[in-house]
Parts: sequence; structure tokens; C-alpha cells
Amino acid sequence: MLVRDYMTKHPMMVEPEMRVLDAQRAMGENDVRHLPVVKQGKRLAGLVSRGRLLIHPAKLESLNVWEISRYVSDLKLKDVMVPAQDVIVIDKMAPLEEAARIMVNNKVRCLPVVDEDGNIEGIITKADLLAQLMEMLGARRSGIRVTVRMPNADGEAARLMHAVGAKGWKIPAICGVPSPRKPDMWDAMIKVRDASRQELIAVIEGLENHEIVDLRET
Amino acid sequence: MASDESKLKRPIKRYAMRHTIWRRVRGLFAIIASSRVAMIGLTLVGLWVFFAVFAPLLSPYGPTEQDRYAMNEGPSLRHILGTDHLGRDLWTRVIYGARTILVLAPLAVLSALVIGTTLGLTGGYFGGWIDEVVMRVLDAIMAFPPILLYLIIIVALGPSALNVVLAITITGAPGIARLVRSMTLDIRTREYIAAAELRGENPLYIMFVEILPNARGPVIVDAMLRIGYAVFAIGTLGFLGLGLPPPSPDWGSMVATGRQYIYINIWAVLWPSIAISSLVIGLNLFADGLREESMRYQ
Amino acid sequence: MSDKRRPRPVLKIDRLAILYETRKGDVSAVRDVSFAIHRGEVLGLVGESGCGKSTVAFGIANFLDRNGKIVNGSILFQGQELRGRSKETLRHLRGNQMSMVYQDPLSALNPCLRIGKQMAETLIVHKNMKTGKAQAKCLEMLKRVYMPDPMTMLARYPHQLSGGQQQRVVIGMALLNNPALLITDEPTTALDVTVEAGVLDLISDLRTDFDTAILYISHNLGVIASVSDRVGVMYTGELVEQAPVNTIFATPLHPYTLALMECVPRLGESKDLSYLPPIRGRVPSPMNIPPGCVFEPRCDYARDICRVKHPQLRQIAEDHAIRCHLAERIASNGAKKLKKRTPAEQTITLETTYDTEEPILRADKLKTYYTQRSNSVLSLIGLGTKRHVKAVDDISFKLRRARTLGVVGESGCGKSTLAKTIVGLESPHDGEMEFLGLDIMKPVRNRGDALIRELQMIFQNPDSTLNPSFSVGHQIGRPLRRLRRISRHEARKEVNRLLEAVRLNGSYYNRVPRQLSGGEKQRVALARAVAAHPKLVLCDEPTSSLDVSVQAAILNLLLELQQEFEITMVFISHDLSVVRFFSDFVAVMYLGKVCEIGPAEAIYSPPYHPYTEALLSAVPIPDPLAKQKAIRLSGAVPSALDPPTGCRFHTRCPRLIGDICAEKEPPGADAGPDHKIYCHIPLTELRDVEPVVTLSED
Repeated sequence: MLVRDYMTKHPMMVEPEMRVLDAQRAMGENDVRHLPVVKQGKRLAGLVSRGRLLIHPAKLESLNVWEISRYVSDLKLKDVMVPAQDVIVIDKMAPLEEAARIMVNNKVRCLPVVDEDGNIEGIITKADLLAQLMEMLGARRSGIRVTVRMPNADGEAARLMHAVGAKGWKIPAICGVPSPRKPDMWDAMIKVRDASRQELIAVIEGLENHEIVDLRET
Repeated sequence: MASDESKLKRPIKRYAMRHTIWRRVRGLFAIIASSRVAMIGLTLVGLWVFFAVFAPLLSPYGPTEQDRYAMNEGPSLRHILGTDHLGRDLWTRVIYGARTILVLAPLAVLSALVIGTTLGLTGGYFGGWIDEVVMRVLDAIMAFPPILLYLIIIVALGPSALNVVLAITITGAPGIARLVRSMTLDIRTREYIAAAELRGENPLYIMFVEILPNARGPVIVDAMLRIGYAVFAIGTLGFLGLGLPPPSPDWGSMVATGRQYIYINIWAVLWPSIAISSLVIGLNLFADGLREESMRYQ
Repeated sequence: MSDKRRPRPVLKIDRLAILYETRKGDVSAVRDVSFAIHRGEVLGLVGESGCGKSTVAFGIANFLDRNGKIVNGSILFQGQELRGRSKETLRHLRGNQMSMVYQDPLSALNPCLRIGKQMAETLIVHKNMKTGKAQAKCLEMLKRVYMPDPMTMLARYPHQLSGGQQQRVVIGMALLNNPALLITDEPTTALDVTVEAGVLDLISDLRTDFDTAILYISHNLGVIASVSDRVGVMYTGELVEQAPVNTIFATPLHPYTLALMECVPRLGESKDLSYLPPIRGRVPSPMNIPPGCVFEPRCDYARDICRVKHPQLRQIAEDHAIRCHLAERIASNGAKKLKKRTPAEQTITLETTYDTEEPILRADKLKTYYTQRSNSVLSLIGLGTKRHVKAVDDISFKLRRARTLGVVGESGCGKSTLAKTIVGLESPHDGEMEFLGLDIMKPVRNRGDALIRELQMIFQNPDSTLNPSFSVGHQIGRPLRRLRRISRHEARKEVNRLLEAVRLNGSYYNRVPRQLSGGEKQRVALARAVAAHPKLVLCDEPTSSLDVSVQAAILNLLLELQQEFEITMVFISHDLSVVRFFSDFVAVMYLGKVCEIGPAEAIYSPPYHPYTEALLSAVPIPDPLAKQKAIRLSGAVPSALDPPTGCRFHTRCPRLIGDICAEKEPPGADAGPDHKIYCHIPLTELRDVEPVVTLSED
């Protein structure tokens, strides 16, 4: 699960000389929120987002009506974009959670994916990660979704998997996190197919120290 | 009924055939007319043809008529272009000279065309050792500088109109042969030639009926150019004293003899020179224009 | 990967119109084309020659000639409109995000530079990469395109590579830039079937790896079926139908699409059981477009409204667009699953009385070698060792009267040489050959007129098969006058009769080849070949350069003529479906030898020779639901100067059994009546092999 496999490979790209007005329109028409700005081929020159294209009122305070409209129409992307050195980027071989971590820590919603020379290879956004989260949790797959709480110790998760696997049931999704507010416990969420509610409950309850925290059919 | 129909058809067919030939000529003229260059050339050449054809009507004098009282004179009312050292009217000599040249040059090129085409077709079609032999012979001839070759031939055989034609033929044929050969080599690979061979056609038929009509384009244009060269060659030969014997109004020899008196009478040299150059230019322009148009037409 | 929200398309064309300015006026090459391609999707654009598909590609990539102008419509590439932008912006957009691959790879490669240097050039110049790194990237790309031995390839020149390898290099170069859109214009038309299969596999792989949107242009329905996700059909500059590939092949709705599908012979069909209905009429000249529906003059479903009103492209189902007034009616009229075609009255039934006769053509251990001219000094004197290109090496077969022998093989297998040897255009080296009981081992110039009359040939290239300086009537009349000694007057009548037989009306008598289309020229060539009523006609790929619908017409014509004049035929082609359709017996050739020879049905079903199996697995089938084994041959065809020892196919054979294949030439095993397979593998094993192709209708 690397960035490479989930990024958008051919994002829409624009040039620094493009006018802000045109960029806004292009964003609107194509329903994108972030536009990488490139020069010399695909070399990253900067990044613009919808927010950045809004003009700060302070800039316009001192101008009159005609000057404002002239200023606005002359405004180019290179004047408003985040320049390349300030853009946070990621490598395509980075794991997905690295992308997520960067986005969380830096409060950005979009990471251009570049190679060693600074050429754009793709772009990954919060929306992509969200879509992937959906996949990982099996949102589109049917089955019994059960969250099992177990001690945060070696071999516990394996026991659960072994028990489910021994019954020959299918597991369309697995996920695990340390329990919220209980550092020595661990929550495993699995989706199981081909099992009935009772059978599944029986199996899990047969495991020592494993507790069903949530169970639902999806 | 059928015989009536066919009786009607025959004269119609003959009319149609002439009609198509006429259409072809008209088509050719259309090509020429659409090129300004070709038209200029044609005009120049046409002018000279006109002079040559109507020479007796255009001048009261004969080309060898001498007027001992008007030697080396400049242009005057009686002699529009002046006279040479023997009192012969230059205008007359020039337009009568046009006659010789306009007969000899095309004749020479035609015979070069016939011989060169045959050699080229033969070498190109048969290939193998026949081609090698033909090519080497032609190479040998082409190795000689043309002027040298003219010299050799004329000196060996004596100056006469026939020998001039012969000399130009021998120097011109290899170039044409090469051209035809390269076209033949290309056309030979076409499938309709294979189809002809499959019909059991003999090589002569294939060469002259199947291949030649498709090679004629560039060859014709080349031939036009060569007429220009031939005119120039005849002029050169004349100048070197190897052309037609005096007193015939050969432009080249006119220049040669006039050269001796150049300080007192430039006209005897000037007019024939202008004549040669204008005719050559005209022919070249015509050939050029024709070539451009035929390439564009394709 | 979830695609809940359909991302915006990489390329969106809307009502595009392109015209060319010519001396005779403006010619509309493209009149109304709209489609969209998304990332990782392949749109196949199919149509016959002159429909404008290449012009669309040129318009997108800005390769139109000077006299080509886009007059209408919009081209949205990566969300940005291409029309009306500055040259600089266009160059940036197209240069970095769009690549194009053409039909002839050799013209895309610089013959003076080594491959490595050429490939690295793009990277070094446009991306300022260091040479070492660029070289590494090129090497990686060559591996990606499955180039065998990539290190050596980098150091070679383009002419040292085979056609398939060149095309891989071109595709690799196109992808080095990681383009968002890849336009390919008939990239595999010039390649052999097995090579083509490899390149098609490559293109399919690449789109998943690189997520590139691909516009694949072709006239070959089989190729389109195997590589596309969606298909657009073009006719005279308009897009007439667009649908996902399975839909369009299962339920085509536009009459033109229907007609196209019907006139392509499917693998497994033979002339005894089915008929190829050609499309009547001619493609309208761009100066003379009919008002109303453009296809109406040739359409079997046409109604009055079609003549009057020009149909617009409309959505008939969620993903199925069609330009036809009668689409719904056609859809409801017999749930248009293309039925297995029934013979109808036009079946050609063959006389079986000829079976007991002697074969009309017989060859025994026939060898035709070309001497290679060595450039050494020794050979000048005649002392050098002679090397031979063994074009036809030890071929034997028998052909009975009124039957058709099909010869298939890839380039370099010697089938053309075989044809030329039979007909006398090449001199055989050794062996025996008999025709009508007469020995024909001599070249054509040594054969008598009586023999020549009975043996004629039709050639591949319609443009060079007729002499451009003579009229049609004259050229058809020549064999009549020469070989049948008919008087001029009689000849005229006979020529008209022949013109009728090839479905050309009398007005063609005085026309010159320049005025004829490819199909018409080939018909004239046919008339010329049968004029003298020969007993054997050789057809050397007569339909390879023709459009699909024209091909159907010519094949039908050949069948009719064969029946009318009782002609025996030898039909050479690289197109396996056509050969299967047309022939009674088939010989499969490889590097001068016959691998398998037998009745057509036997060749196309197990037991197979391994090469036949590979060929069949590589044929692109115009049926996306057909199951086809994917056997890909490694390596390239060895040189005929120095063919492999033992079985010639052993260097590439996927079923190689051991040293015996390299040491001994395989004997001919009898796999059935008249069916021989030349392979060391025992027949019992070969019989157990599953069929290579299972069509969806079976």
C-alpha cells in the first residue's frame, strides 16, 4: 500500500503564467481543489488550492475600482502560489500512512508526488486517503463486522485469525488499533463472511481474554 | 442492327481518339501555361523558331551575301544589326544561323534520346552482366570531358553537320541512359511488369511498351534541358572551329571570326553571343518550368 | 481502487470538425466526432480508410499539415481547452503529456543514432537529466517493454532491430515522458501476427502500470476487440457508434457497424457454410456527401427519413451512443446477437467429381534458393563460398482440380517465393514440379505459351498491379489478344463480359488506373488474370491492403470466378481467418518449410503443429468474449541464410521436447486423411491439446 498505487497519476497541471481567473475557472469546471503548478516540463514550481486563489482584502484596500479589476485580471498564479520550496511533497514509494501522517502534522490536504528531480509523478489528496480508508475497512463488502478487544500482547491477534481461519470463513477486511483510552488493550476489527452470527460469537467467546465490543451485519 | 451500330461506332471512335489526343495536347499546354517560367522560356524559343522559319521573309539579304562597301559597320538603317568583316548583314546571318541550330540541336538530342533510352532500358531490365557491360561502356564515355570528346570526334571525322550531331549524341547518350536505367530499375519491381512476364511477353515488348511510357516524364524534361546544352555545344564547337565549315552562318564560328575584329566592331561578336545565350536561356527556362509543373501535377 | 466518483476524462472531444484546404476546394475530413477517454482506459477508434480517424489523431496532437484546420468543436485535454491557446501553452501541454506512436516505427527512429542515445535524448534535453541517469531510465524502460537483452539493444542502430523490436522502442520512448495520453495510429499493422500479439499484450500491460489513457486507432476489428475497453466506429468523418467493447461486438446497432462485423471472416468459418455479405456501393467522396444520413445510400435499413434528415449522435443506453434514426427499430428487430451466419443461396458448392483425378499441381522436394552476393574479393573470382538464402526448402504438396490451397506464414517464411517459383518468376534450385502433367521447373521465359496461359497470378499491391499508362480495357484485352489470339473486335466484347463478371460496368473500359479505387484496381487485375481462362490462379495476398468491406467483395468475387471458370487456386496470406474461410486445404510454412498441411478444418483444430498453435493464439479475433490461449513466441525469426538445424522451429518452440528437435528434421506424421504434421512430438500427445480458440457462440 504505497502512495504510488493510490495517487492520481496524471493530475491536471498548470503553468505559473496562467491567470488566476483562468485557474479558478478551470478548477470549477473540472471539480478539483488543488492544482500543481509546473514549469519546464513537469517540474514542480508551486501549488495552488482553492483557498489560495481568494484574494486577501487587505491587498485591495488601497486601490480604486479600476485598479482593482486590473489587478485582479493581471494576477498570475506565480504571484499567489505556494512556491516549490515551501510545498510539502512525498515520494511515490512512501507508504500510505506516511502520506497521512504528513497531512495530519502539517495540516495540508494535498501532497504532490515528485521524483528526485522534482518532476511531478502524481498527486495524492485527503480524499484519496479517505477513499482508501473506506476500502481498508471493507465499506463496500458485505459480512459480519465484529470488533474484538484483546490484551495488547504477542500472539493474541494471531489466535483470533487462526480461530476464524480454521473454520474456513472468508475475511474481506482486517484492521487493528490500540484501544482508545485503554493502552494495554488492542482492538481488532474483522469482517467475516460465510459465518452466521451465533457461530462467530461462539468462536470468539471461546478465546480467552477476547471480548466482543461491537458486532453488526453489513 | 449490330452492324449498323458498329458502322456508326467506327467514325465516332476515330473522332473520339483524335479528341483524346487533342485533349492530351491541350492538357499539356495547360501545364505549360500555368507556369510563368515555362511561358517566358516558350516565348523566347518561339521567337527564334519564328525567325528561323520566316528567315527569307525577314531579311532582304542572303546570309552569305557580301557587301564590300559596308564592312565592319555598326547598326544602321540598311543593316539593322550591322555587318561583319566581309560585309555580310549580321541580322541575316543570325536568323539563318538559327535555322541550322534549331535543326541540328533537336536532331542531336533526339538521336541521343533514342540510343540512350535503348541502352538504359536494356541495362536496367536485364541486369546482370549485360547491365555491367553497358554501364562500363557508358562510364568510359562519361569519363571524358565533353569538350575533349567533341574535339576527338570532330578532328577524327572532319567538321560537318552530321559529325556535329554524332558528337553530341555520343556525349549525351550516357546521361540519358543513366536516367532511363534508374527509372527502369525502379519500374521493373512493379507488379504489372511481373504480370507482363507472366503473359510471356518478350523483353522488347516489356521494355518499350510497358516500361518506357511510365519513364517518359523525367526523360522528356531532361531532353528539353539537353537541347539547351546542345545549342550551347554547337556554339562551342563552332567557336573552336570544329563546327560547320564556313561560310555557313554558324553562330559559334561567327563569334570566333568576329573576335579578331573585336576592337573595331563589337557587333559581329555581340549579336551571335546574345543569340546563343537567349536561345539557351529560353530552352532552360522552358525545361525548368515544365519540370516544376509536372512535379506539382503529380 | 474505488471509482465511485468518475474522475474527469483525460481527453474530451466535443463535436470536432477538421477540414483540409485543397486546390479543388475544402475537404471535410472530420465532420462530427465526440468522445472521452479516462485514465487507464483504451478507446479503440475503428473505421475504414478515408473515415478520418487518423485526422482526428493529428488534430489532437497538432500534426495536421499546413492546410489542415480545426473548424469546430473543442478538445479538452487534462481539463484544458486546446483550441485557441497560444502556441507556447500548446507545446507545453502536448509535449509533456501527450505521445504518439505511428504505424511505421522506422520512420519514428533516427537511423543515425543508437537506440540508447535516442531514447536518452528526450530525458536529457527536456528534463535536464544527467546522461548516466538517463541511460539507466532507458534501460529500465526497455525492460518494461519486454525487450529481450536490453543492454545490447541500447547500443544498436534502428535498422538492426526487427519490426517488433523497433515498435517496442518507439512505445518505450513514448512512455518515457509518462504521458497522460498515448495516441497509437495502427501501430501493429505492419507487424507479423505473432509479433503483433506481443505488442498488444504490452499495450494492455502498460495502461495498468502507467495509468495512461490510450487512443487506439485501427481498421482491424480483431485488434480493437482484444485491446479496447470502449470502441468508437467512424464513417466518412463522423462517429456513428460508441459503446463498451463487449456491447459493440455483441449487439452492434448502427447498420455500418453491423455490416462491418458481418463482412469480417471469423476464425472457424468456411466458405461452404457461410457467406461474407459485402457492403454495397462506395464510400462517398468528401466532395459529394449525401444530405441526410451519410451511410444511407449503402444501408439496408434505410427509410425516407434517412435520406432527408441528418442524424445526430444520441445516447440510446447508458454507455451506448449511436447516430441513426432507426436504432431502436434495429435493436428490437431480433435482439441483435450476431447470429452464426447462414449460407443462404449464395453458397458455393464444390464438385466432388474431381477428387478421383490426378492432382493438377504437384511439387516434390522443391527447393528455391537465392544466392547471396558476397562482397569478398574471392567471390569476385568465383572462389568464395556461396551462401544461400533458403527461401523454399524441400516442399512437397499435391493440389487437385478446382480446389483451393491456402498458404499461411509470417514474413520470411517463403510463401511468396513459393508462389513465384510455381509461376516461373523465380528459378527453382532442385526438386520436381508438375502442372497438368508437364514439368514446370523452368522459368517463365522458357515456358511455352500454352503453359503460360494456364497459370496466372494476382498480386498484392493494387496500386502497382496495373500499368498506369494504359486504359483498363487495353490491359484486360492484352492477355486475350496475346494468349488466346482473339481478334481486336472479339476482344472488345470479351473484355466487356469480363468487366461484368468482376462487377464493373462498361464505363470502366476507357478509364485509367489513376481513376480507380484500390478495390476496383484489384477487380481489374482479377479480370486480367482470368481473361485467358487459366486453370490455376495464384493469389499473393490480394486483399491485404484493402479495406475490410472491399476485401469481402473481392473474396466473394474470387469464389464466383472460381466456380464459373472452374479455376484451381493457391491463396497466400498472413491473415489466418481469411485463409480459413477461403481455402479447402491449408499449408502452414515457417522458414521455408511446411510445418503442417491438411484440410482447413483439420489445421484449425487439434492436433496442431506447435507453430500453428502459436499462430492461432496470436490472431486477433473480433470477438472480445472468445477464449484464446496466449502462446507467445520468444525471440525473433532466425535468418534464412543460416536456418537452425533439425526442426527449424525448435529455437522458439514452446513445446520443445529435447535434443532431438535440434538434431533431426521432423518426419511427417499422418494426422488424418491428407493431413500431415511435421513434428517430433507424438501425435497422441498433440491430439490431447485443447483447442486454441473457443468462440463465444460455441
